[in-house]
Amino acid sequence: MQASNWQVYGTELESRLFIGTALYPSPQVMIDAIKASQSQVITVSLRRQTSTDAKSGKQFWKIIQDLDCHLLPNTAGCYSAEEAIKTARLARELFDTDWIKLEVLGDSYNLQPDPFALVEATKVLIAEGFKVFPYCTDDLVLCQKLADLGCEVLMPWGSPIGTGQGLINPYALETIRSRLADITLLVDAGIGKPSDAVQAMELGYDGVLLNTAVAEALEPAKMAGAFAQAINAGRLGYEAGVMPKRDSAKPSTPTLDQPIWQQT
Amino acid sequence: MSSDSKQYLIVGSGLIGRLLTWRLLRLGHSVDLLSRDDKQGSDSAGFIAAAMVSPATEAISTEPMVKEIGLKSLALWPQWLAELPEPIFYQNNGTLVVAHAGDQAEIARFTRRAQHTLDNDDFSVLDKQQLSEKESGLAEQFDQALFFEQESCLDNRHLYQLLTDILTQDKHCNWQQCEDILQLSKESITSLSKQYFERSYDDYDEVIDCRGNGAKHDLTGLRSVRGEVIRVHAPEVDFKHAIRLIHPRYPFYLAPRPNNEYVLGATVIESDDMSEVSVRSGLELMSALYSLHKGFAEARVLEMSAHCRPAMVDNMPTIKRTEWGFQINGFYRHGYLFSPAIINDFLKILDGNLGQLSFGDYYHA
Repeated sequence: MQASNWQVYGTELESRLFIGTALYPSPQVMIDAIKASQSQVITVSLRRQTSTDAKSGKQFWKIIQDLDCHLLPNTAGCYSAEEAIKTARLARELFDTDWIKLEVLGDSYNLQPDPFALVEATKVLIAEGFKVFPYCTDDLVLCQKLADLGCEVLMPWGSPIGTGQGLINPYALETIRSRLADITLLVDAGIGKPSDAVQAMELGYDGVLLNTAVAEALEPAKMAGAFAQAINAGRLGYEAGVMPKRDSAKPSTPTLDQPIWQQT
Repeated sequence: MSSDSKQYLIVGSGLIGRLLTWRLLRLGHSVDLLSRDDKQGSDSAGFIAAAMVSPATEAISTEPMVKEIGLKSLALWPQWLAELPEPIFYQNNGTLVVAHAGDQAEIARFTRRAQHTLDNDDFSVLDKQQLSEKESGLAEQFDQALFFEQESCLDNRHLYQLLTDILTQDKHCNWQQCEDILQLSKESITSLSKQYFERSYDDYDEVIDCRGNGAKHDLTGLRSVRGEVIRVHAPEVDFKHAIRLIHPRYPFYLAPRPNNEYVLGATVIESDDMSEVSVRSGLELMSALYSLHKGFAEARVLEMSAHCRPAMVDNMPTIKRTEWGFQINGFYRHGYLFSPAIINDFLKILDGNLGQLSFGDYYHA
């Protein structure tokens, strides 16, 4: 059974998994993993070290194109609004898309997003017609500000990039979900195992973005398949309506001979 | 010369081209060698490389087959080097893998992959005392290490120089430098061989393309992966092992050379950018050196260079049959790790001994 289709910035998608293209042992392993993930959106980086001459990675670029997925370029590795804006413009030209995963880092140790620079860059890029997918922390007020600026999609972190710690603050993620009911939400970063993805989807998140959890698995393609199933299962669970918790046990088999008023 | 002596044309004089030429000459064949590069080999990835033969540590970040091919090369290198006219530096003491205190999670990941990819006796875990006995200079900075015994590195610049001497002096080898060769075909080979060797395509028993990155127009899927290295002279540092420094962003590898010289390499960038080392990479490389041993602070920078490795989509080498000859390519960052094993196989292919190939699954001959 397949969970319902969904939309990001007017593009209809079946898969709710966005997957990254970094860290794989070889392009072939990446291709196999992305195919197994059934993902329709892949994130690509400008590879900052060669961003002055972005065409030089054209052979790798051809491999990415052949995957026939929607591309979500990112501004990975940018530490100021200015740098991120510049990278986003370059990405629009190179990848021919106005989608941008906006990432402005504020701390080089845990790669935490800088919320202030993120808001600043978002303002500029939206004015330039970009469809911004901001990578942000799980702060409700920050998310509200980004939504007010015109972001239709927000991507709060589960935990810092590459840590595989899962959702370290489900309460905050749940609050964002319930308060920003009309916004498309993805958990970006920190997902380590399939159950982390299930948890995000059960909270009502529309999708999950991950890279390391698959790329650094011992068998990336198998792990990509596991995430595809987990995300579908989590979404189906959310759509089906999770039963509320109760404090006392309730038998799933009704016992007819037991009067309802009987107390134990 | 024996009657079964053959005449080959080899295009490209990088590591594979010159090694193959040398092996064919030793077997009594004649070789016309045509190359864009100078005879020193300065525009060759193998000239820039750290030249490590590390079957186990490379397999961990790639795939188990890398170890198999690498072990075959590890056995062949001492035999081949012994056939050179003078000894070259070959350090066969193994590799130490370390990470700084803040990156212990990376060591845990590396160990987990090692356990998955390798056999238990391929490596051991050293505590500070054991590390101190093996490489005292490292124990000042690190409390533990992984040790991979069956790994080596060699002085590639010396190897290049000796092979240049052998090839230029051997009367059965005619080595000519030419303009960039974009595409090979029977026609282009005929005109090139006429221009440079006064032969035609039909005069050759086989034509073998070893151009690496230069074969891009003839080999679908070939791509370039940029790497950067720094060469230093560090009289205060006396490492006896190859060293890998695990880091979340870059894995660094340090290969010793004679007379306290060292080559530190890193960076795997999907790019055919051949420009010089960037300031950022230079900073990363130098701080990695300093973090390994304080004695690198007063080291002298001999060279910083960048080059691109030719790679196929699976990062494994390939041998292909074309209508005009053979292509050998895609050695990625495994030139020294793979070349003896793969060239040995290729010599069997040339001899028609296809049943004896060690890694035939990788060839499209």
